[in-house]
Amino acid sequence: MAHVPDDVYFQTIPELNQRLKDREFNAVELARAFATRLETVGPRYNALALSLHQQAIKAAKDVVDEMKRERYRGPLQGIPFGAKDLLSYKGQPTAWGARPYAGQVFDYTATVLNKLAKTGSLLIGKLAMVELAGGPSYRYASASITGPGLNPWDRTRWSGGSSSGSGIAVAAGLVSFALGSETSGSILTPSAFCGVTGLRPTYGLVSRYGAMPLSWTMDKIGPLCRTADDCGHVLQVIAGADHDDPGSAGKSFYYTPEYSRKMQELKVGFAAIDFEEWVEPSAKPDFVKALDVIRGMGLQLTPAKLPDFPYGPMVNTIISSEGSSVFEKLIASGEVNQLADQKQIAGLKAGLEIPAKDYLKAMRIRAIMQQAFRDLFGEIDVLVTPTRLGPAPKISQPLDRPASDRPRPSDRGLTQLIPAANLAGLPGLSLPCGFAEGMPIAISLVGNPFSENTLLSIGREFQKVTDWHQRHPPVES
Amino acid sequence: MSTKVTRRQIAAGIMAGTAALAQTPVPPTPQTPEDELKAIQTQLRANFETLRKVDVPQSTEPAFIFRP
Repeated sequence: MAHVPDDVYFQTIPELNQRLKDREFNAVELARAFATRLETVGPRYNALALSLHQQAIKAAKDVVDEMKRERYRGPLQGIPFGAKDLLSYKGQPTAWGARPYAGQVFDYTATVLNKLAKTGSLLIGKLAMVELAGGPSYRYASASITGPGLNPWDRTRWSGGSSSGSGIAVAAGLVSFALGSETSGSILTPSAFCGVTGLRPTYGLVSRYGAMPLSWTMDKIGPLCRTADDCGHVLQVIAGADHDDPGSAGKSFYYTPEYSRKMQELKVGFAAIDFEEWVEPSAKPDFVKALDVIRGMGLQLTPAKLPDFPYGPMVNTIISSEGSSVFEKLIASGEVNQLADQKQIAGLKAGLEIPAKDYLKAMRIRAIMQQAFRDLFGEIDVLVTPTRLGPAPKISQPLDRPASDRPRPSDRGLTQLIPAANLAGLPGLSLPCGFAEGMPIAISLVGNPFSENTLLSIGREFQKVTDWHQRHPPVES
Repeated sequence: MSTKVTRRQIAAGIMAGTAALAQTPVPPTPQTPEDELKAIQTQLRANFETLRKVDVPQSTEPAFIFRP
């Protein structure tokens, strides 16, 4: 049996796939190495919900046979990955990070996992998450049946959520890539805090079939990877029309790096105040440098403002209404009281009291807001902003409190871009861009619906001239 | 001649009332489940008040589509 060297854990998808084709090791050996590492190291960070080691080895044997016959299925063939434990996998527990669902088993597999299986990529485990993908809201990082996601850069800090295990597993080299989900921040936040590259696709581009719903009109499934290029390869596989998803946009995605527009042709909107006043002081130097890198890439930076809408009240009303309706039985039965976070419990209960007229009002404002964003993206191609304003908080810190007592600027810049872009269904890409207090920080790019290739092309170019995405925390096997 | 107000005009004219961020004090963390529920109900009511101030043309449909 070939020895699998340790450098595999932090290689990109094409690099690993090439090594498989070169027969340095085979898919069984690679899957075994990653799965063992996930089982051994994952629990140190509360990253693992369920190991699928045996299932992965069984599937890997088919991949070995195919690759021996040079029947190649693409760059994801033989690549071990993890999936947020809100994606159903037939016959195995899918707990949604929540005690009331600990023994839940589905008799079908989520569309995205079936699609990945067809390419020969190997699911080695389900990854931990914040209970019910964060619900309407939660106060503490411990809001999960698996405990708080511990950041692999500093275990006293949070990994971010709700795709906590996905961020941890990619950062610590426990999987080559992971699937997460985002309703409002849950792919981009753990990507930023863990120092990995995360892509939130356009709403409807990736099937939600088999994924726990939190907000039918806002949930998206997307990849967390080592690079923007890896995100492109994964998105091409998982995207596409699905009759089983009522929200499906009916569109495919073809990753076309060879047809990228020139950087000089692209207009990038930003708000100087984000980088000068909103960010934490410890993070400011690297955020400012990141903006300089973007300028140096030839992109046309231009001041931009978000359309003026009450994003917070909109997103809270919509997610609370839809989420509480999803979990109505859980609430009515009283089992909601088994959840780990008191704010989460209260939020779900209160959500059932939201009058229809207020939900509908939020949804009508949302329609106007969508038009305002179409107008904005008529003038620019992409928006850029810090993904989060500083590094990951400490585990014990309440998440609904400001990180510091610093007075806040009166101009909110683009700091509301996470709720705004999620309300508008826009794609977003988080890119590691530096460090603060020894912890990763990141910038986000947001574009028009279905502009993922543009975001990824900027991400690729950014990652050609920086090496933040190649850094990884010291993790002992 | 009737004047049709476009969605662009409405979007440009909407006063969300959140342009200036106030330095609002952070409320204390609720201590009991009942306090937690009351705090969230209060926040939701504040949200509804903010949304009610936004003027939306009668013809605006919610951002979801029913398909038979």
